[in-house]
Amino acid sequence: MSRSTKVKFETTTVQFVRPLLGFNDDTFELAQHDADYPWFTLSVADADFPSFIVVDLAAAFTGLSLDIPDDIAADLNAQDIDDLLILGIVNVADGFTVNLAGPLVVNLIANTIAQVVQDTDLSTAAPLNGDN
Amino acid sequence: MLVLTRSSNAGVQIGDDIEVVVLEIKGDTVKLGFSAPRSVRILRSEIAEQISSKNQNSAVRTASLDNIAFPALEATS
Repeated sequence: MSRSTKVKFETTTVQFVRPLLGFNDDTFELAQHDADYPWFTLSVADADFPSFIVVDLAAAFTGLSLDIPDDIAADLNAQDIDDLLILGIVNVADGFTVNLAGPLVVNLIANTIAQVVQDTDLSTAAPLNGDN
Repeated sequence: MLVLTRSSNAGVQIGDDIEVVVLEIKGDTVKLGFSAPRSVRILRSEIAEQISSKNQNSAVRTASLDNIAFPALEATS
């Protein structure tokens, strides 16, 4: 799997079709941190909190299988799998671990986003194979 | 909290469009079936609490993003 993310954009506004668990905000700005690496920031619009560091899971983890239920795909208005970007929320304070059990699915065409909780034993604190 | 006693195959109606049915009772385990609009998120309580807590612990202030040093990545299996 490619190390670099396939997605190239600077900032786009995305709308949660279902609230992010633990928060009521629904409009966020998704920005690519660096075009050469699969890092993004997800920041609530018009406020200083909350923001998240997120990473393109396709670029950061190989062999990862995730389930996107049909009802959530419909809510995201997903027409083509290639339109979807799958992101993992990173816990910086925990040493850049990634929540694989609650990935974010972004439809880059419809600008919709949802957290798709996996009913499996995937880790909520998977370590990245980074150099720090 | 409302407490109701239900037997196997009995249900509970919540509002106009949500139904919870007891499908099976075996020992101390109950198998439940849910009928609800697709906009209603149904999760095991412990998973919802775990993900919610993880989200909150991962949230940072936007102003702090510029100070974060992002690691270089190698794909992890």
